[in-house]
Amino acid sequence: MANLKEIRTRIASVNSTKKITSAMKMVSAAKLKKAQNSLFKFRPFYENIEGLTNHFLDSGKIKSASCIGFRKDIRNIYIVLISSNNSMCGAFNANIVKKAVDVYNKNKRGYSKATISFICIGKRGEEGILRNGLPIVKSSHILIDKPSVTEAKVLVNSFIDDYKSGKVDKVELVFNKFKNTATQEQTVETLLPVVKPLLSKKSNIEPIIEPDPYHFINRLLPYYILNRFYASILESSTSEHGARMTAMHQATENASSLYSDLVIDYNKARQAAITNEITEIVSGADALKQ
Amino acid sequence: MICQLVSPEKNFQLDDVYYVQVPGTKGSFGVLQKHAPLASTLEPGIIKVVQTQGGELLFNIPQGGFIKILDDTVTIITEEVEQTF
Repeated sequence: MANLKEIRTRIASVNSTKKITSAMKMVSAAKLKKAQNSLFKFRPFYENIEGLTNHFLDSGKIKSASCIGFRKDIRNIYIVLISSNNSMCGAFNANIVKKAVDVYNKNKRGYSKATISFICIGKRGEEGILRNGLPIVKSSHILIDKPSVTEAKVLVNSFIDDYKSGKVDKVELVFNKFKNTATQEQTVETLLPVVKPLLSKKSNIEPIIEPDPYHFINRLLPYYILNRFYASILESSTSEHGARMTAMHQATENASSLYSDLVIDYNKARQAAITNEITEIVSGADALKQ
Repeated sequence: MICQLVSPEKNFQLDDVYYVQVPGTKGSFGVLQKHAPLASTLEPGIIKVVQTQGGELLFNIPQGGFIKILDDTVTIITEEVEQTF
C-alpha cells in the first residue's frame, strides 16, 4: 500500500482537477445556453428560406441559374470541415474528422479523376486532417468562437466565385448538427451546387415570380447558400458547447469517485499505521515486563 | 389569412389578417385573402398589415427581403424586422 504522504498528494491533485472540470462545465453551460438561444431563433428563419428555395427550384420556371444542378465533369471538390478551436469536448472533433475522411474516400471512389481538398474551419479539425496527410487549401478559425454573418459572407462569396469561375465543381459541408446537449449528428450536406430536394411536394399552381425569375433566383440563391452555411456554423458551435458540457460533467463525476476511493485508501493506510504503532508499543511493553 | 414575418432575431405571427402591403422590387403592392401563389423580392421599406378586426400594424424592413404567398399564408423573410406601430 502506498504511503500516507503519497496518497495525500494524489487526493490534492484529484481535487484540484475536479475543481477545474466543474468550472469548465459551468462555463460551457452558460455558453451553450446562449448558443442554443440564437440557434433556435435562427432555425425557423432558415427553414423558411429553404422552403422558399426548394419550392421555386421545383417550379420549373427557374432552369438556367448558374449554381443549380451538378456539372457533368467534376474535377475539383472542396470539403468544408467545421470543427472546434478548443479540445476537451470528448469525441466531438475525432468523430467529425472521421466523417470527413469518410466523405473524402467516398468522393475519391465516386470521382476518381477529381482533386479533393479540405477547407478547415476550426483548429482541431485542421490538425486531424493534417495527421491523415490530406490536402488543405484554406483555413479560417475566427468563425467558430464568434459566429458572424459578415465573416461567413466573405467565405461563401469566395466559394460562389470559385464555383462560377470553374475552380471548384462541388462543395461539401461536414459538420455536427445539434440534437440535444448530449448528442450530435455528424451531417454531410452539399452546399454547391444547389440541388433539388428528392422528396418534395410538387405544387399544382405555378407561382408568379417578381420582378422576374432570373433576378429573383439571382438574389435568392446567394442568400440561401449563405444562410445554409451560417446555419451549419451555428449548429456546430452549439453542439461543441453541448459536447464540452457533457464531457466535463463526466470528468467531474470521475474525479469525484476517484477522490472518494482515494480517501478510503488514505484512511485504511492511516489505520494500518496506527495499528502498527500500537502493536509495537504493546510488544515493547511486554518485553520490558519480562 | 396568416401573415408571418421571420428574421434571425425576431419572429412575428399574425392571424386573422385582412390586407398586407409590401414594398416589392417592381413597386409597392397589396395582398388580400386568397391571393395566387407568388414570390417576390422586397426592397427596404415599410410593411403595412391590416387585421380583420381593423387594427393596423407597421413593420420596418431596413434590408429588404423576400415574400412568399402560398395557401393563404404570407411569409416575409428578412434579415431584420422591427415593429414601428
